[in-house]
Amino acid sequence: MKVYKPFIISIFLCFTFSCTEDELSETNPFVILKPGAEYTKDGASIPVGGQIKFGISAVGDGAAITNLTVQRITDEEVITELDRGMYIKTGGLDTTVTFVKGPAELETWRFIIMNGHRDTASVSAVINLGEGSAYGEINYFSSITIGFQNNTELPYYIDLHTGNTYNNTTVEGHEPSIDLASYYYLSSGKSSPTLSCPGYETARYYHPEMSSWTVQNSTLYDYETTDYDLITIEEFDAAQNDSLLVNGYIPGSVSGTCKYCYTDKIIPFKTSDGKYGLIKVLHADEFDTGYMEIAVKIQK
Amino acid sequence: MRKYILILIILLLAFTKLFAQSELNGTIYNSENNEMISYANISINGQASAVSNEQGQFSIENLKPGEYSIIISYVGYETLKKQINIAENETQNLEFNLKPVSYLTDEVTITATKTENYIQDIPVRVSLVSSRQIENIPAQTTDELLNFIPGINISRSFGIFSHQSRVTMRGLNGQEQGRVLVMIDGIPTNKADGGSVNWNLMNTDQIERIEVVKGPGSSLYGGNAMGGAINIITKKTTENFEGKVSADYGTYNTMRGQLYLSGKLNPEGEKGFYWNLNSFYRQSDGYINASEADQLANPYIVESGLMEWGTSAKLGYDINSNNTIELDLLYYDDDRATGEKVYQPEGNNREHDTYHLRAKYYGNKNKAEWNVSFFYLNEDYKRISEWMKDDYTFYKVLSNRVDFGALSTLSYSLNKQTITGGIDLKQGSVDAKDEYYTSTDIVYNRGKMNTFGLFIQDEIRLLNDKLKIVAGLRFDYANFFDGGFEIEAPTSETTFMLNYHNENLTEDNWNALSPKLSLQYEFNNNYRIYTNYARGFRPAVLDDMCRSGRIRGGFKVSDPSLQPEYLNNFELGADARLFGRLRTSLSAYYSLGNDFMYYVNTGDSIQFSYGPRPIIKASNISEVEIYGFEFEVNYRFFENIILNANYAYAHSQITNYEPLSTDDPVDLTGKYLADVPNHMATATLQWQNKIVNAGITAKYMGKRWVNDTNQYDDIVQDSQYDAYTIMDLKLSKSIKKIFVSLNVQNILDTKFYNSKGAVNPGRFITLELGIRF
Repeated sequence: MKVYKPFIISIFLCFTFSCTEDELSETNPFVILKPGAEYTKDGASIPVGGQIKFGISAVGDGAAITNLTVQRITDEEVITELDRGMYIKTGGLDTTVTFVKGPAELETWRFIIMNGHRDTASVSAVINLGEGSAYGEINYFSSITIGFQNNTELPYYIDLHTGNTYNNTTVEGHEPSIDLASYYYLSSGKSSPTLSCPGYETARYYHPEMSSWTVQNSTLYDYETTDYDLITIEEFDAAQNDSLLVNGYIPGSVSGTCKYCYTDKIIPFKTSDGKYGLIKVLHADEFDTGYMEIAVKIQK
Repeated sequence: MRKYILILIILLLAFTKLFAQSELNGTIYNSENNEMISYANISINGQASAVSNEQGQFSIENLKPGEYSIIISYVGYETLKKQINIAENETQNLEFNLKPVSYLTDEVTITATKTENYIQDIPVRVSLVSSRQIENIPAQTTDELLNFIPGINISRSFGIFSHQSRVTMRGLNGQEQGRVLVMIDGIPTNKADGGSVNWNLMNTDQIERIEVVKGPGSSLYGGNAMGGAINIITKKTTENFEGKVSADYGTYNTMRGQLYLSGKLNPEGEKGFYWNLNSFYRQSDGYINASEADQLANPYIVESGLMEWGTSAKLGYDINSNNTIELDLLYYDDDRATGEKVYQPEGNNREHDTYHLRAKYYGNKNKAEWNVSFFYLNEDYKRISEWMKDDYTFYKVLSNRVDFGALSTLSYSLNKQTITGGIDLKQGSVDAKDEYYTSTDIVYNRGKMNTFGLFIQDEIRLLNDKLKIVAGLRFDYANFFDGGFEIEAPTSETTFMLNYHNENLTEDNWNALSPKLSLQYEFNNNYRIYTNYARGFRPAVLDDMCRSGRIRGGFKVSDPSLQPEYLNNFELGADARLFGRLRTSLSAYYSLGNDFMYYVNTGDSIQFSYGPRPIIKASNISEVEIYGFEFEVNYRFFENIILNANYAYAHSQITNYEPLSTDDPVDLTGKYLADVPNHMATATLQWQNKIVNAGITAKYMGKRWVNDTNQYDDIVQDSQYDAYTIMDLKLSKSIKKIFVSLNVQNILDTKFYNSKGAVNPGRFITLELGIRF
């Protein structure tokens, strides 16, 4: 018996005292707006519809940067224009973001970063309303037809900037320009013609060829405007510049997939290179060998 | 580091060898017909030492002079224990007579009535997993030991890689552990937070036997025992010192070390301390459980490996032959990956950090017996979730779940009856948060539930003990308090929940009355019939009362006013032993459930990042009808070959569904309960022989509905899961102190999928090598 006593004691000791728990020490992440002629300066005046461009540089102070949030603050409201999760362990964050000036006389743009310890840092810039209007021109593609995942005849992929469509053969060499792919499925028993993009995981389930693409663009669709029909067909048809495209997009309710895209739905989107646009669903089948026909308006 | 220390200790002990000298010769007989028994196991002082030959004879040489405890065991016979003294250079020739077990089994159970009874004397269906079956059944985990009991439905999709398992029975939903009570040495282990049980906690080495009482047991145990009660009885040593150390290695680079030590300071005396220590460590690289399509679509799919270890210690003191106090401590820690890794070092995973303390005092004097227990169960659950969709999302679920209480039972035996009563006090609580690291959100939920139970039972024996009546009644009162659901710094991840922010959820209470009446008539030792009526209930879980959040199919909102659900069960059963070697049993039951809890559409919807989803909440809305039967046959072909086979049929249907809203598109009336197979069948063959002991088992699981709406599921691509059959094999051999066993689970490499399209591990082989001392 004596032989085993040391073993028993050692087992108890190592079990009792070897427990560890994650402990997060306080860190001080840091963020600045990059200087440079290509970026909008703090205090600048920009006309409504004009582009605002910021360069952001941040470090996490030993912890990964996990979030970048951009808020547009006016007298009347705080709009979160960007709330992006990320994981930048080394080298810090270095990115450029673009937005469009709204109608408010004064906008305070606030940039907040958070790191893996949930510590935050922020920096702000004030943008004044300039004279006139800078809403820009748009491209209009009145009819684009693509097939769902089991449609063997129609193309599957769209470059929203040009309106060009591609199938699995013709897309070779054009993968970096693809913004949209579609599929059909039952979502919790509910029929869903769905718009998505190469950067969205589920889309690759239905179009597995996209898994091998080296560039997988992420287009964001505004599902709230879509679900609640906040833009009418008449408004879509009447849009002559990008005003509706920019203002109809609600940045707080966006995703890389948009379900329930039935016939006559209007879907605001923003491409991965920052172009705003609108899709009108002209026709949507509700079976996986079917197709969608859409019209697209997108910023030039 | 700690795992290496443990492995080192196990290896050191593995090479510890005890030498002995002198000689014992024996012959083993059947006490009823004097036939010699071949291939019986003989162990000396707890270590396997010999197997009898075809003439029932054995010989053990090189014994040192001294006193020895001989244990002779064989399937179908009562285990024989005998103390012998051997002098120096002495050769003893002894005869041993093993008594065949009579009727179905002469095993004693305590779970069905909280008093000691032979199984055949209780007018309910009790199944037992004996220590011998534990040795022969190819199981990696405690719940798998129950796989071959008729009517038991085990949901463990990923084998040892499952972070949780659910064991249900008799037509109840296979995804809800809260409808079956699970106990360790009579102490409840279902957590108040979700009703779940961590079946990974216990190492099978520390289990003496498992008792399964089917049908409602709420008249004794209160909540959770609605569908039945499972009691895991741990080992209590009677030897001075014994132990076992082993290591196994197998599929997916799975390795495990186990250590079991036990002893009693004064094994022959009435007084004295006894103790045991059980530790295990297991790790595995795991496998990819995602479908091929998921692997193509998601570049972050990885193997779902595991690391777990646990230790338990028991210290008891026999105050005298009638009184004992006992303290059990259990610690368990695991880390199971779920098969997706983006940036976090271990990817998506789940961890349980569990402490379980049990203290017990039991004794008897004259005609009274008592048992007082205290327990404290603390589980720190941590789940890391990360994924890359539109952007990177990473958050942790940190949940502290505590259940503690005091249980008491007092029995008094009169001439032909035994009256049992007791009081139970319990508290369960949860304090949890979802903490986001890729946004600022933190979501808190908390709540507590106090339960008070009072019960009484009378066991009456009439007509020369041929007629037995058991009547019981229990009253439970519970109140929910300290509930809250709060959201801090919400972003788009959680803003949709803001309407449900509530720092002080409404307190609520409920009570439940659980009667039982059962009768049995025993014609003779070979035939009996019984019938019973019992009512059971399941309390609402804290998770449904104080936590709102996403669940599959929508957004769940909490409801602190949830009431218990009930099951009224009528049962008829019979047992018979035919032709000496054939034993059969048949049970038929009819259950009516009311106030069953279901997730019900409120008629509203909420906007998620992937579109509008229905708002649902758990509600007492349904009536359920369940009926079925179980048939079991046990046949002893020869003395060393035993076949056990059973079949269970269950029909589980919702008979009345009252929607909360006229906008609810769902009507469950007439639908079948999900995850309940209509047909289950199992067969087990145990063959003991001189070369190698073999146990082979097969289990057939019939089709099951994927969801309660019985609708087509786009992931499973059907409304029902396919039926499947699993076959397992265990081969084992002992050579003196050393033993080796080969465990093959799922020999046919049968694939089956869960509702998320994830696949089981397939064929799983381990080879174990160990030493008993």
